[in-house]
Amino acid sequence: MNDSEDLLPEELIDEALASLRSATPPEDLHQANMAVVHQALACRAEPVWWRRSVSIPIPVALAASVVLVLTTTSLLKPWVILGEIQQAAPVSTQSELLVDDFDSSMAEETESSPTWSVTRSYIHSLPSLVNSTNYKTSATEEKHDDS
Amino acid sequence: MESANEYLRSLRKGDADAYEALVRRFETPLYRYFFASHGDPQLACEQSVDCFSDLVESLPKLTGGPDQLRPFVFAVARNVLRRQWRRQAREFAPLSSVPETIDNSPPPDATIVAAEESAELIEAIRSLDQTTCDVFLLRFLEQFSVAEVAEAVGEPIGTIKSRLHRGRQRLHKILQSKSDLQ
Repeated sequence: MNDSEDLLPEELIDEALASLRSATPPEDLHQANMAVVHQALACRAEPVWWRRSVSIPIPVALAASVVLVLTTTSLLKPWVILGEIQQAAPVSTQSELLVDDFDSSMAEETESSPTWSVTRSYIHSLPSLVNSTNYKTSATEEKHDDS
Repeated sequence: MESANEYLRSLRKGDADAYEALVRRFETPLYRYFFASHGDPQLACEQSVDCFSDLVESLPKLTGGPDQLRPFVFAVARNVLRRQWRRQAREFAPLSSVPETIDNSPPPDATIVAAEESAELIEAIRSLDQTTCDVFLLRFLEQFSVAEVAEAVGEPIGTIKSRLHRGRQRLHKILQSKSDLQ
């Protein structure tokens, strides 16, 4: 069986649809089309610059977010550490902080060295030295009074 | 070619004059396409208006060159048509509406027979599945090339050729069964 015998000839389809080719729209359709186009164009007018949006690829957006988070973290980190130190030693002064830093760095360097214990004793003995100095001073004053 | 590119740029920018030219160029083919799809002139007018409204929204997204404008316009028209079918399952206009476009003067017998055959064939084309019907209308009514039909429908050229072949087989069967009944 020939396959082309089962096919409707293209010329026949062409002829049948030729009657529709002469179809013309009503006259008022042009006005309606133009009205809707003008309306749609008015709606499509570009907004002011701060209300515009831009589209960027998701990988770029993710990378930008990661960079922003890392930058913020690295900027805030020194302040957070300083805050923690101040919380741990609320009455510490700047000089004491420096001494503590010095102590800790020394401790790291010579953890099992006897030098550390000597330094600590010296620092801890400072108030007693001051007291003894005061005592001596008052004793001297008493001597002056007696004379 | 340069002026065609310039025209396309104007459309993308939303130039009112360019859109007026677009309406002048496409309002008759679009109306004809919608009317041929269902035979309802009122619905064809409504769909034509909807189509131009959609075109203003979607034309800035057209990435191709001027050659792609016509398939793009008809791709938007197909979307309008499909949306309409989904929205309301309207009954097709009776066949008597088809000869409205034909000369109304009293024709000779041969012309009457030809008009009846044309009406039967148009009805048969409309009875095909929606995409195949669109393929036939674009190919034979709007005289699109197969490549343009493929672009408008969004299917490969091979599929369009296959649709045309199977559609012609189906139309042959439909018309043969009708003539057998008579």
